[in-house]
This record gives sequence, C-alpha cells and structure tokens, in this order.
Amino acid sequence: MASSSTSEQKKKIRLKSADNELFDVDEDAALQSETIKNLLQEISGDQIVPLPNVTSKILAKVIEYCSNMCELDPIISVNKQWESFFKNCDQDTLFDTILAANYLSIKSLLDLTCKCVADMMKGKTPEEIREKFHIVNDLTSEEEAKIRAEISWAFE
Amino acid sequence: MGKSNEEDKLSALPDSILTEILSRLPIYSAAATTVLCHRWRHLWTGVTRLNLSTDGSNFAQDVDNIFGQLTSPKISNFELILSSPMELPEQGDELEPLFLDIFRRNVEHVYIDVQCCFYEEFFWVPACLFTSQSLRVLELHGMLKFDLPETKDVDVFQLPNLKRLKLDYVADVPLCLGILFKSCPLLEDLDLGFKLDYVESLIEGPVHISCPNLKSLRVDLESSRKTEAVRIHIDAPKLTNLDIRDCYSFYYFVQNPITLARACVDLRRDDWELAEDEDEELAGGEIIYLQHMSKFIRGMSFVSNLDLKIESSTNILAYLNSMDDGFLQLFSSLTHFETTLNFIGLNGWKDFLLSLQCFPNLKHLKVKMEDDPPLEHNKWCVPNCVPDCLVSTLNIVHISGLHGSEDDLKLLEYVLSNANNLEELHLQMLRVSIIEEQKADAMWQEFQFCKSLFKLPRRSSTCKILFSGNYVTTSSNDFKRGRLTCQVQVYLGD
Repeated sequence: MASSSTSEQKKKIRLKSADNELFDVDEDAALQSETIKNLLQEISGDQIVPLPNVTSKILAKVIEYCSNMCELDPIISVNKQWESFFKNCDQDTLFDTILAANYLSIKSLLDLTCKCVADMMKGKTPEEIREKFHIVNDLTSEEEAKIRAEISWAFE
Repeated sequence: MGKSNEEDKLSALPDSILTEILSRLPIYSAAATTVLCHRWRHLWTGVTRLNLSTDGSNFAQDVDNIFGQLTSPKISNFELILSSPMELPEQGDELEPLFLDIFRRNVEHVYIDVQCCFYEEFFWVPACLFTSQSLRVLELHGMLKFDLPETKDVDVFQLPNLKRLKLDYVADVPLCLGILFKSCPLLEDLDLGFKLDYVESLIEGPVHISCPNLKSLRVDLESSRKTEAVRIHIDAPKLTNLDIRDCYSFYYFVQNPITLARACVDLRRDDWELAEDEDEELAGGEIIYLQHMSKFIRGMSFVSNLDLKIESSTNILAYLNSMDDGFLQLFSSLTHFETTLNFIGLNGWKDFLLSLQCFPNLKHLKVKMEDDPPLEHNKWCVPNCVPDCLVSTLNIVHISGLHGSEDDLKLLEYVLSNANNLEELHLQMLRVSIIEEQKADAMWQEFQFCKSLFKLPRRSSTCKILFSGNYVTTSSNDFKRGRLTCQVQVYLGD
C-alpha cells in the first residue's frame, strides 16, 4: 500500500526485522522513527538497520503507517483509517504495535495506539476491563474492599 | 499464537506505556483501575494528562483527592469540564494552592469549560493560571470569572510561551485585556468571544491587541447600543487571518497588516433592534461609525479573500470607495469577494457596484441577500459607471436571494451585458414558503423568469447561467431555440 509511483528516485533505507526479513523503505517514511534516525547516524551509508525488537509482521504495519503519514492526504482522514484499523485488530497486533512504536520512537503512532486502548477501557467497570484484557485479579477480597473504600470518589 | 489470546498482554506493557494509556482516560476512570490487580495499584497516579470532567457535586473534595496523589512531574494537559455543578467554592482561594501545584508541573494545554444551572454561579479561574510559564494553549469557556488582583501590574500575567488563547463567552472580561495580550509575546492565535450585555465588568478604555507574532485573530463581541462602544486597536504585523463579528465597536489598525490574506467582517445587527429604531434616520454618530469602519476595511487592502456581511444600518459600502483621504484604496490582491446584504435590497446595488471599483482584480464574486426587504427597497437603478472588474476580470458570480422580479432581470441584464469574461453565473432564488394554492402559480412564474433570463444578451459568449429556484433547477445549456427543458421539483404536502 506504500506509494510506489513516484518513489523510484527517492532514497531507500533497508531495515531488518527480528526474524531477519529485509524491508526497503522510503527515507522520509523511515525517518518518522527517531530511533531509526539515530541509528542511521551511527552506522555508515548503505548498511542495513537492524531492528531486533520488531517482528516482520508488525514492522510491515508500521512501515505502512509511516508511508501513509508521508502522503499528501489530509492527516486527519489517514488517522481515522488507522484508528479504525487498530480498534478492530486483535489485541496481540495492537499491543505489539504499541511496543514497536515505543521502541522505534514514533510519537504519532504511539499516541494513536494508546488512545485506542484507552477508548477500549473507557466506560467499563473494573470487572469488565479485567475480562476484556484477561487481567488476573491477584488482590484478596479484603484488599480490594479496602482499596475501593479509599478511592470511592472514583466510583461515584 | 491462538492461545496467547488468554494472556494479559496489557499488564505486560511497561509502566511508562500504561501511564500513557491511563493519561488518555478521564481521571475517574484512570483512578478506578487501581482495583484491577496489584500491578495496576499505583499506575494511575503517574498520568501526564489530567482530564477532570464532573457534575461537580463534590468538586472541591475531588480536586483535593486527585491532585494530592498525582506523582508525575509533568502534567502536559489539564482539562476541566464542569457541567451544572451544584456547589462551587465561593472564591478560588481554597483551591488555589492545589491548582498552583498542578500548573507548576510544566502544563502546556489548559482547557476549562464550566456550564452552570444558576445564573449567579461562577467558577473562579485561579490567578496562578496566568503566570504559568510553560503554557502554550489556553482555552476558557463558560461561566468563568477571574480571580485577579485589581492592579494594573504587568506581573499579574506572565505567559511567555502562550501560542493560542481562547476566551469563549466567559462570564467576565478579565481586567486589562491589553496587558494580558502584551504578556504573551509568542501569541499566534487569539480567539475572543464576549456577550458584553451579560459580562460583569465592562471593557474599559481602548483595548490594544498588540501581538508581534499574531497570525489569526477572531473577535466576536455581542452587544447592544446600551453599552458604550469599545475601541479595539490591532497591532499585529504578521496577521494573516481576521474574523470579526461585532456591529458596534470601533476597530483600528495601528499599521495595516501587509500579510493579511483572509478577512471576514460581520456587521449584521439583530432584527429586533432594527425594528426598534426604524424611524430614526442615520444619526450623526452612526455616520461616524460607518465612515470609521469603512476606513478600517480599507486597511485590509492586502487580502486575497474578503467576506463582508452587512445590513442597511451598517452599510459601509457607500463609504468604501470614498476618496475623502485623497485616493481610492485599491485591493489589488483581492480575487474572492463574498458579501451578505441584509435588508438592503436592489436599491443598495448601486453603492455595491461602485464599491467594486476598489477591487480591480476580482475573479469570484458571491452576493447573498438572505432576507426579504420591503418592496420599495428592491428597485434597480442603473449605476452611472461599470466597475472595471466586472468588465474584465470576473469569472464566476453567485447571486442568491433573488425574487424573480422585473428589477432582478434588469440587474442580471446589466451584469450579463457588461461582463466580458464571465464563465459562470450562479443564481439562487430566495427560499420562501408559499401556501399550497399558490404553488402552481409561483412555479410557472419561476419558469417564465428562467426563460426571460436565458434570452438576455450575454457579452461573454462562453458564459453559462446556472439557476436554482424553489421549484426549477436548470441551466442556460438547457435552453435551445426558445425551448427550455428543466427539472421541476414539486413538494407535496410536508
């Protein structure tokens, strides 16, 4: 989905995922990641940028996102599309993307994905949140009752 | 992969990410996550944004509970939304230390919106907000008053990093507005809305909007003649966008903004006020106002886009091309001009067309007549000259609010017979509701009007007329050898 028509002359950056897959990415898309920007300064010229913390599946998504952000479409409508993608994808993809955005230091993607998780939590009771995200309650019922009493104002 | 669905991948995220997620929740929801499990016990206290939205039943108590527990050294966003609070602290004093603690944590965005059920209820904006050095965006809405010391001391305000300020119909005008603006040297976007008849303290003396970096200014002052006219001096050499809705205040440019690209000035008054003093002809004071405001508009001569909304009592067009200061002010960059003429009718077109002499390079013209002025105001009278732009540069003209009268036809004949380069003439009839029995008649009249319209000689051979009426939608392309084919819409019942 990354734009290809006019990208022939653009400088490409070669990225390597955790599972050793190579990705050729337009420079301006890759530079949205502060981490890649810094790595490029450390390594010379045409070397491959290793990204040992990101799987190829997630890296492909992240690259697609970064390329979209470089396109001329209004950012708002692009953002809307990605928001609906993350709201409907499985939790593994969402959380792995958050980790990748955090590691790669792509602020807009981290903002967007964190907002998606927040929206999934919004308006839910603690019980509903536990169920949705498979959180195991390790508080004893006495502990929980005590904490609830302390923070009763939050439940009004 | 499949079984990982049952894993708690959320809690496995690092603390910093979890607090980022919690920062995007209303504070009550974020705090409630403390009971999820041990892992989540204190995460919420690290939020970097505070979104407090409440009906305010225990407002002071909640502020105490929440603010005291937050541990993050940086609270970048502070959002306070109070909807019809039952009880508010009398004065800001008791909450001031709590707010001070939050605003000291490098707060960048502050948004406060308070809506009260009782007219006498207010929320006192703590004074420390106005000395928040890191603040970049400040937006205040609703029933707010300012707990500011009554001195003209400059130190009351210290907002060295503020870029956007919005005061949106707050319940009081902070004293010394000019000093406030002056204390924001980086201000780029200023948005002011006041209902002057309702605010507690009046705007005293001239207001100086003196902002060297200001790009966008919006002023919306609602008032009646009962309050004294405000004088507003604009000194913003980088201004590009100006929006004014205010029909009584006097505006001045300290220096004409050469970067101004778009301006919208709305001088329309409310109908009821108009009816009230219908008998009074223009008083001396009114003429001074009109002359002054037309001079102010002439100061916008660098704009490419101008939207002017006026009505009979604020019709400054007659003064726009007046040469009382020696020369005709030309708006050489102006290509798009839009105007709304209320209660002015065709009589006002003479002045309007003369004023077009100021716009020698106009390409698009849009005229809206959204009202229904008395019949005697709708007499077409041929002006004794033809504006240059009509002859040579105008490509697209929109006129809406036509009645379909003989005089309308004369106006259109004038336009069509003079415009050399006109490509599109868009016409829209005044939207009227007509009783059922007269509909067939009105439809027939509209149809006949179109036929006469399309027969008019056009100086520009490529000019296309697009007509949109109450019943008939058609274009001059549908008119061939005296026959008109068109779409007719009939509304049956409601």
